[in-house]
Amino acid sequence: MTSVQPVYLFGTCLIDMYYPTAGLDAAALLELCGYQVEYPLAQTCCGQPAYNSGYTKESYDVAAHTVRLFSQQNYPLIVPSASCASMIKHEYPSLLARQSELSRLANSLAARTFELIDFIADLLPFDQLAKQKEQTVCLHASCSSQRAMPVADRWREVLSSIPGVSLLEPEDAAECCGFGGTFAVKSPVLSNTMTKDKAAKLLAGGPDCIASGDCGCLMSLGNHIKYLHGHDPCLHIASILANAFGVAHEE
Amino acid sequence: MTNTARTDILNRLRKSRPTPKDASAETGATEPRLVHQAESDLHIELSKQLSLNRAQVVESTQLTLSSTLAELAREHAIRQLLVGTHPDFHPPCEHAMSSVDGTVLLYNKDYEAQCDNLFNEIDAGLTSVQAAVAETGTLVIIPSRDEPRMLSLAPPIHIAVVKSDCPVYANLKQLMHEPLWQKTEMPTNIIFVSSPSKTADIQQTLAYGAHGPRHFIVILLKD
Amino acid sequence: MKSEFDRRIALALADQELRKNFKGAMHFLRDKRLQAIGDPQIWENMRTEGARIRENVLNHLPELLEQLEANCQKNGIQVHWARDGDEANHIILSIAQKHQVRQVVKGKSMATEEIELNAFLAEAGIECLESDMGEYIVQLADEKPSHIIMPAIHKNKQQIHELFVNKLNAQGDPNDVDRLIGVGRSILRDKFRQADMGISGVNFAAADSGTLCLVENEGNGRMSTTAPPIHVAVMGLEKVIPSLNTLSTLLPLLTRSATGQAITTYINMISGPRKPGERDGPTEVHLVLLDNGRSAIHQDNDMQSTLACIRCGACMNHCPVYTRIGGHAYGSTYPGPIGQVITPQLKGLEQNAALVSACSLNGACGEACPVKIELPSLIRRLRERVAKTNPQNSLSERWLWSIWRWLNIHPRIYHWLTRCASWLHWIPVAGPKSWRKERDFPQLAANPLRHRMRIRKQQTKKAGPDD
Repeated sequence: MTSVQPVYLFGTCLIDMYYPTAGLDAAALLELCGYQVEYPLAQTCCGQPAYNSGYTKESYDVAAHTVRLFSQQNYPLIVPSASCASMIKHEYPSLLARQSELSRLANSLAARTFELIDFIADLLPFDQLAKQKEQTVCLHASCSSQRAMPVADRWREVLSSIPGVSLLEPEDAAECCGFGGTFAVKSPVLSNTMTKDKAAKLLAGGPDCIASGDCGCLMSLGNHIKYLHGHDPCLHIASILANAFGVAHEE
Repeated sequence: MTNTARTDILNRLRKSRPTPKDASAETGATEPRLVHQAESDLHIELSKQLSLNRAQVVESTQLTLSSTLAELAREHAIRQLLVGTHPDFHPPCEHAMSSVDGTVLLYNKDYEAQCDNLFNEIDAGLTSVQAAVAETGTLVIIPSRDEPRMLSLAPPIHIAVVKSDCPVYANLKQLMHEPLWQKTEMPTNIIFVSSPSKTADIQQTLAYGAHGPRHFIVILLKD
Repeated sequence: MKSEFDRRIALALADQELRKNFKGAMHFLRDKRLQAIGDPQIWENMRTEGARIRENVLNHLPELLEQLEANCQKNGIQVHWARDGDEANHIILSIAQKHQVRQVVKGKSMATEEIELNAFLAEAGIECLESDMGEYIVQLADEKPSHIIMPAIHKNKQQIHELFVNKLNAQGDPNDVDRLIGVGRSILRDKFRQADMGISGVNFAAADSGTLCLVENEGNGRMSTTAPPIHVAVMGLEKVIPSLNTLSTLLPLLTRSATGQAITTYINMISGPRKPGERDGPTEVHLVLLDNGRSAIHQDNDMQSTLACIRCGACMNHCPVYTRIGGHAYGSTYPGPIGQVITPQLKGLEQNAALVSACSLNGACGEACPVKIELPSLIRRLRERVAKTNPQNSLSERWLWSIWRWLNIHPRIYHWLTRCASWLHWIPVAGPKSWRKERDFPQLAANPLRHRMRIRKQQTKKAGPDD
């Protein structure tokens, strides 16, 4: 196996702290697709929280750190979050434009940054999958996955390719779950109202689980649903896929 | 005071640097939806769209116009029909209204002199049409000394007569490329009319006859 | 620490009837727009074209305004320039006083809402009656519009029925909307005839022909600009367009985005007062070009695209925040995303800092905007300015972000701290109390991903070359 292609995995801060399993499952899926996963240990956050809050200078330094870290090699950068992927792909080039060397690196990194599911959707060996247990999955297409980083259709595609999975779409599928990063901190009452509405719509069809590719949404929805019903049915799509392909991380 | 305001505002606007992106041309790229359609198709589309817009569309000819008008007068209980001073439609209107014991009135005085009449007595106003747009079911009406603005606005019924030689355009874009819109001297008023007066301001419920005509009747004249 | 805006948000969210009214209305408007825009590729081309036209206008704004002025004057329209609302109000008052105006009838105009013209003229003893059905209802209730296109969208028909019973003594079936509209119609038709002056807004003003273009469904705009002897049009100076040609793009963009219509009932194009020999129309037409903060926005390169707006309201119809709290909660003339961008620029960022926070940057508004204004980016840029300059912005918040920055560029300490947090089950990002109220505490993982990836790598290495 000498021709194994290396890729960078950017774990994102939320996956690092709250959903490490999703990160491990992402790594396993990449390996299943024939990649060698490089996970630089010095990675932190993409800088989006500060950027969206208007703390651009603070965000600039963190973005610069991330760009330098992932510029040591020219590997594709795989991000298991549409939101963080979009930050790197679409915001870094303008954010870092004023310094020519960083700007060059940011543009190069942006060009090789991919959202995880979009990157592996065509490579996963779905034809080898045996029939699995029947389950209904309700998809939460995050705002980033619909607009800035339009990969929501890829999410639908992979989920409905798993034998046994029936995919549900909630009412008002395009509407925001209310997380919005620091929006939840700055406008907590609004954020909560939106999350409550979203959770009710996602649960309306009685799904076995709620899937998304953005952990911010999953955390916000999961915490609320757990408060209401005592359990958290939210899963990262990478974990559902890893389970189906039998490469999921065992706790 | 106003002059200083003008200078101040323009000076401030001139200080702005234009956005770096190039923005030279001003019209262009949108695809017209209907391209080079046969004239008969355009008439069919116009009629269809007007009907969808809740206009009552009636086909007629120059010869049968008076009987069409008489029928409409009976259907809508029109007793007083207001027309412009251009004599084109006078004979068929006179004929039609006399057959229903109604009268034809001429808009031949200034608005101020007949405004009570216009708002309270007249049952319907009849106007000609200068052009039409098939895609949206729109009539272009250019009020004039002969056919003043209120003729198509104040009476509860507006009857618009589209002559057979009235130009019908596929869409707005094609209409706007016509010489009229390139002229620097414009008529005082141009109106696009596409339906009866309406509103959805109360709980999104569509209601007709908000302030203008409740009924919009379009007579399409064929050769 | 709680802003007035926060208090209004809480009130709006607690009003179940209001929330139901807005939810219904927003769904209705979104669905209608979606049906009306048809083929997405053609729509996208049209948006691109619309954005280009508006950008072009902003690039040539002073020249276009001079051209508009010259051609309007040639057509007999008297043009006035107003630096601010006060100046505009005085211009209109002096026109009114010159003609001994007692009664004004108004077409819908957000610019006159912005300068609070009605209240100003009322003080001078001149009564201004709103004639757009929605505006009429709102005025009757002594309220302000809650939406720029559908001013009375916060009320349902029962509430309007009660209003009509109380204020007009109009009894009848509360569910009969035709009857309710009929009540307004008969009152207002008299007013059109009696009014000494008509005041309207302007949707587009064509520079090359000196034409004012008004877009409407009801006919009250035509009435207000035709029946009274004087017509005064008030227009934000960004509404100029190079020529009527551009309407073939801008009109369908506006009407589809605003009400989901391919075209409105009336497009009213006015190129002057009644000419000698003509039977009707006002004998004087005035155009008031209103700056009121717009030239400052124009000078601000990062924010200039704010002025590309054609006031369709699609951004609010698609905003999850607006959908839940409605227009009044914003406490400004323009609500929703465009209001969150305009208000701080017109009325001061310091006093309106809370407005720019109330956005999840979900992007729905930018996607709906017919002229492609990047509203989320504009909101983010305003947040940048709040962060930099606003003294109300607490020192502790700035400190937090400085610490956040320092940790994120010192990965060793960052990771040591996250591991400690995991062990201690202490949560650094838990959010404020009111957010946590209806949630379980976010659970930190026992071991962060970085730690597990390190172990994973060591295990892979140990497994040897045959792996």
